[in-house]
Amino acid sequence: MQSMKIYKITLTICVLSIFLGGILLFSDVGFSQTIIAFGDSLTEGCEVSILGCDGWDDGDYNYPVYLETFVNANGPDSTVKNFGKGGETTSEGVNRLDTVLNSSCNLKVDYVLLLQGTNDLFHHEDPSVIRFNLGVMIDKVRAKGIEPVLATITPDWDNTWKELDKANEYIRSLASEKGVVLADQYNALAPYWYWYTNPRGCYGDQLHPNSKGFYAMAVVWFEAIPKPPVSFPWLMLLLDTP
Amino acid sequence: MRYCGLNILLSSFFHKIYSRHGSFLFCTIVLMCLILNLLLSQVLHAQKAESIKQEQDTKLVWSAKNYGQGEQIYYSSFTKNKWTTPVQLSHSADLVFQPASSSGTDGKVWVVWSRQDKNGSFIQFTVYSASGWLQPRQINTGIDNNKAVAIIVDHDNTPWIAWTAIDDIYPEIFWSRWNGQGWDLPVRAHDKNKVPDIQPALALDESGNINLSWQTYLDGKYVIVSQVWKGQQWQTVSNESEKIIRKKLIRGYKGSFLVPDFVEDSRKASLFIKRTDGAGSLPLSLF
Repeated sequence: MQSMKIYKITLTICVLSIFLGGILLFSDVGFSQTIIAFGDSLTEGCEVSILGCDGWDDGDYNYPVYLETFVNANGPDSTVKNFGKGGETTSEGVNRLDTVLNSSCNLKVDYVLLLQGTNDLFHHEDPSVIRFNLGVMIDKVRAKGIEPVLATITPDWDNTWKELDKANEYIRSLASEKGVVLADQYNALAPYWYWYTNPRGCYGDQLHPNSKGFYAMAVVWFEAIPKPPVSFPWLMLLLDTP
Repeated sequence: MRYCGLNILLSSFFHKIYSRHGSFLFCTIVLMCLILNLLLSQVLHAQKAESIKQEQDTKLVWSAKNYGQGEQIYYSSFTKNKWTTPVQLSHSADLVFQPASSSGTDGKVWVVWSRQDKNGSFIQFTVYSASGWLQPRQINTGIDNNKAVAIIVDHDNTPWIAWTAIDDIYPEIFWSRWNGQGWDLPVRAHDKNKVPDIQPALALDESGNINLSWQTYLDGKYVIVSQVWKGQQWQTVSNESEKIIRKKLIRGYKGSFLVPDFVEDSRKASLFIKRTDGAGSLPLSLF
């Protein structure tokens, strides 16, 4: 009788294991993503070198490096390509984006992250121009069958005269109007910006964050980037439960 | 060919210099405060040789934050192999920015810039003559959001200005000129459109014609539009080589004739300007 019980329990465990294994095998638990990080110095980050197929080499720190570690936790082959260019305005970005999207290096891309506008504001460009140009970039990305993710502009305590609030309002409304996922970097980071710029990062100012700040930016991006559909969400919830 | 109104935007360059060599605390503080929007005027550009020669004194205007005075507009000229002591042209409690200057053969120096308050952005100007600097005055454009003003003085010593203003949704390019008593009513430099028109620049060609260039969005990208004032009207410039040259005049162009060199002295901020033709660099003490 006792051996029968043990037999039944063992059999149940075996069946359950096979069942769960099958679910894990055929569900999207493991996936990889290719992401392009497009922007200015807030994307380029610090001490980068060599622009190749993977964008800029890792360098000391920048948000794409941190973001890649996050997305790799979901899929070992995920990559985040750094296509940030320091000092670039959105009108310059509009022209450069074509080159990036048409590159043979970027034939299969899942998302393009768009963070630009701080240099426009520095040059006193009207926020309406930022809105227009980001809208153009969104359309260009979508025309390639890629999903864009838009971000609000991060704080700048060195140049508080910037029309940052107005620009970010425009960006939020643009995301809503075009149905684009928004990573609200400003709202997420502003309360802690002092800590993200003290001690100073490699740029030595309060516009560019230090390594903690770039890490925080990566977190905001990661939380915003849509996750691939999961076949058994209840299972993922179960597995994710600590 | 004479080019005037060449702006050099330096600040993003400077913070990189300091972040890497930054042990000069005072300079760092000053530079963080500066919006080093420098303007060079009176630069000769020999088209074939691509060399640069000074015709007269080099004029420099910039906006900078001085202690206790907020951000103001300053002027200096390179005279007798040295920079003159900077003159503060604005005394505004509001934000002033994007200065530009030009001068003719009559000894007058015209300086324009933008002033921003809660009601919008406006263009101010002043002129240096035998009686000294005129108290800054506002140009009544009748349009909101006036920014990015450029200026050039033609061979008749008439100043022309071009700037961006928002008459509808996006910035558009407007121009005006001094009629001896005041500024003519602003005129739109292009057909009304639904795209941004930005970064106007003015120049004189070898024939003395006024050239007006700017960037506009066309067919998925930003392109340079250039036109020349001939026969009392603007004519579009189609010559590609001329367009390439005018590209250099666009505000923010990276291949400027003058570039910041370096700054030294922990107690006094000095800006060194290096000419790209290898003429060396000379200091300008800011304060």
